[in-house]
Amino acid sequence: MRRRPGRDARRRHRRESDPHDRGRRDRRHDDRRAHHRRDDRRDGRRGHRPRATGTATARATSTATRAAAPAGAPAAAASPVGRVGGNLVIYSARKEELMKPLVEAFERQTGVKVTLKSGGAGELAQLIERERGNTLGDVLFTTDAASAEALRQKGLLEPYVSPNAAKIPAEFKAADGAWTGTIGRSRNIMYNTNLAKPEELPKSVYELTDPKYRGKVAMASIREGSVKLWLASMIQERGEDFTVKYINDLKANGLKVLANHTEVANAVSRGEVTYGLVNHYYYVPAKREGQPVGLIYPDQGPNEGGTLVVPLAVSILKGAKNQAQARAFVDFALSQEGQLPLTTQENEFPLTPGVGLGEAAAPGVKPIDEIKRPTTDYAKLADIEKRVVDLFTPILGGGQ
Amino acid sequence: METRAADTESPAKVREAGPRGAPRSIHAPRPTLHALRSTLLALPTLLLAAPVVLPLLYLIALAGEASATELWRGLQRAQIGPLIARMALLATATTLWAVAVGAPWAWLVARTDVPGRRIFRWLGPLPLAIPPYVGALVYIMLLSKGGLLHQALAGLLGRPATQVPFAAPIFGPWGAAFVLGLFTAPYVFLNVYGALTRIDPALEDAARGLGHAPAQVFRRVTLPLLRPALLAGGLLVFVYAWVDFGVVSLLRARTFTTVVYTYLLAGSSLAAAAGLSLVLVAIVLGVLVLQGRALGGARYAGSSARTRAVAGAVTPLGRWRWVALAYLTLVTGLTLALPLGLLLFQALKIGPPHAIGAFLLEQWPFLWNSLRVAFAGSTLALILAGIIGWQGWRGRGGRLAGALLQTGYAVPGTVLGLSLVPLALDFFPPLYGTPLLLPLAYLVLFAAPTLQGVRAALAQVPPQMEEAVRALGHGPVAAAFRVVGPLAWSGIAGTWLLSFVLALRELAATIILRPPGFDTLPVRIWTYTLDVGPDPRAAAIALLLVVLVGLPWLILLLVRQPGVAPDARGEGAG
Repeated sequence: MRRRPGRDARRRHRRESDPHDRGRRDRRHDDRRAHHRRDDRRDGRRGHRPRATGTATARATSTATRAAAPAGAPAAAASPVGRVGGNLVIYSARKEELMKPLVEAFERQTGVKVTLKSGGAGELAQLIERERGNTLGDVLFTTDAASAEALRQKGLLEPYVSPNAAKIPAEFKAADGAWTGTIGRSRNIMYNTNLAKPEELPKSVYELTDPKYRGKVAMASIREGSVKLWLASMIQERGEDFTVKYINDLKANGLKVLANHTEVANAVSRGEVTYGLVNHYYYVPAKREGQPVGLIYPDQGPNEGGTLVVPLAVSILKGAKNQAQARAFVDFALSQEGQLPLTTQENEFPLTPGVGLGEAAAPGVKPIDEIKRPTTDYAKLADIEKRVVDLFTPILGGGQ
Repeated sequence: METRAADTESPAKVREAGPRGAPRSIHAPRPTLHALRSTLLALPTLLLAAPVVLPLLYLIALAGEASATELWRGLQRAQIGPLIARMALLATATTLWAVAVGAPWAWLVARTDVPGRRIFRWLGPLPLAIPPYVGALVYIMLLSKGGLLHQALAGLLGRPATQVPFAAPIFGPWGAAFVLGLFTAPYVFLNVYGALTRIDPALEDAARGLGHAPAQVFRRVTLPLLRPALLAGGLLVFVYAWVDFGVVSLLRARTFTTVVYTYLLAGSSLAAAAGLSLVLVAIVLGVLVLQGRALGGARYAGSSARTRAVAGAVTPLGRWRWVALAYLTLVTGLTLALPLGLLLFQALKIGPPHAIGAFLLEQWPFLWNSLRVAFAGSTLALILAGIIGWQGWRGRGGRLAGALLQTGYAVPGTVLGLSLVPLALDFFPPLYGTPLLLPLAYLVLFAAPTLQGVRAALAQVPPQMEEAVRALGHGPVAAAFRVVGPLAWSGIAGTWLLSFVLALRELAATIILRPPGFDTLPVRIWTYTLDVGPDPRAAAIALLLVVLVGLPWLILLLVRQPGVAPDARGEGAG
């Protein structure tokens, strides 16, 4: 049994109705219905646990208004996040190893015990859909803001506008607060300085189909949320036919598709490939370890479209059991101290214009203001992404 | 065995069953009634197979969420044809390699005077303690570009590694076949060794007495007798290659399981993933059915096979002894010494001893998780397989249930995870998000080998024994405990241990099914390998897991007569 010791007893309530066929019904049918019955179902799942009865009625009546004013919300969530205690379950599409510094800082500051469920961005989004508000998680922390947007459209996220979100540009957050971009990352080409000839360094990702890069390029499989987002953005910018042809040309040019970005970055560092399509922060630890790696910001020329900048998106799940902690986490992830672990260690950059990385920046890493990039419309990208999954899952799955 | 059931049915009981079972068939031939009756008797046993069958059925339901045309298009997009062809090649290569490693090993230590045969006999099953994905990790650390060998080479030449050309031969299907074959070879070893010790020496003696040369005896008597064992071991490996996830993922081979996993992680529709999975399950089931056909006739119930592991004639190798020794040294090196040494070497890179100690202490919760779920899973599997096997042995049906249980073996861990998560979510909400799903998954995955083990253990007990005890007035339970228990006990314990070990190292289903925050050691190894790179920490945890898995094996081997593998013998505990 997965225990969340000390979980707020108020959140358990009597099983007032326990339909046996609830699973089938929920899976098949619409979102709105799930919304109404959420509480019953959640309780049924905890059938083996002792039930607290005191606030059952109150909770049941509050169901309808939950979306607007979730019970158990903290009185005020000011910018510095104080001690909260309790537990929090984070569904994280970010790799556990990269997530840890943030989580540990949050735990230290708030006394909340965090449980991580790490998985693919798509996997978690699909799980949340299957869970239909009956989720085990409280917070979704995803590398793929478009999938968060898709969940928002399906009503599976709990809107929360953090006071700390004010400075985040509208482009990087949902207007209703269903998801908020916390920190930015750019799409880059990482290269091995021992293997790449300076005169051959590509200036654009679209050059990589050139025969001179044959067999020298790796990218991550579509298991990575940011790969999906990158492809979706490319489709938005240049169309589906172009994107499919581009990927096929890359493959024909000996593209290696590896499981994830870590593998790509390691392959570049070890010299297995010369160039890797990665997010910029995979370059930073390698550079600091003294690996022979360099970073290219592609497509920055005057007539070029720039390179994609995407946010890490944080959101609270509908039906989250630890609302107070979830809000505290959102606040924290958006606060300066919450961003510190990410900005100093991996050089992910604040999305707020004018805020750079300061001394933490590794050589070659640029803040958001200095990156030429396409604008992103996540409502559109969310639609395109479904198509991306259909088109590219079979061909960008990784493996030889 | 079903026929035996019919034969021993008392006429009175048949008459009772007659009117109810088939009211209008007064003239119906009796065997029909018997069959009907035994089917009815088998029903409760059949229900026992439900945990195995349900996830499979649900997989079909998941695939049904998409239309047939959609499914077909999905399969075409995933290039299903070439995928099957490549998989067949991978599985065949793996099998041949495993047989090449395991079978000579078994023969050399069982039947020749190769130096150190007792030690090598002892070591034979031990590579099973090294999960194949750990083997993959080891060979990645050693053979990949920029890996240990490459660096050593560069060191020798005094040049930076990037200037030393080095082909990375470990990645891709051939590397996967190499690693898979190496670390599944013990299955072949165990089967062949077991068969070699069960062959009645009288048969070979007779052949020798008829003037056959040792080579002829081997070819005309021993080899045909080994055929079922070779086939059984080989097919086990063949199937393993189809369903494996860890090795092929780490070694970047595109297989069914990795494709399904990608579908899952990318957030593709579960229907598409389920469609692919069903094709895989159908193929593996087909192989298993063929296996059942091929091995159907092979049943050992001879008295000499039962009583004691017998030493067949020893073939003197002469000068070839040293070649044989070199061969055994090489294979034990590749499957044991090198992996263990390399893991240790890498693990020591974590830092000073106290840092390593602290790191290992941090793994305690994961270790505890692993032990708990593996214990529960293998025990569940043994209970289920025990009941079905026992029923079958007594001729009370259990054959269909057993066959259904076998289907669990055709469900790869990845596919099982894919199916069990929504299944639990939709129909068993209290189970969803709990670690209880893990023992259930292990039950599904390992009930089949457990049943095989139970059956093998029971097969060593001649059915007449039970009848004799029953005839002396003892009840069936007493018969079980007095006769079958003592005779089959060690085989059953060995079977439990085997499934415990398999559950302990299970990766594919665990990755998908584990609830938030509930990691097992294999999952930690996976995380450190894929998310950090083949990291010293991955090596340290892998070593921990290997020790954990290896210890029970060693203990079992130590308390028994040295040199006899737990699976490979059927005599009573002694």
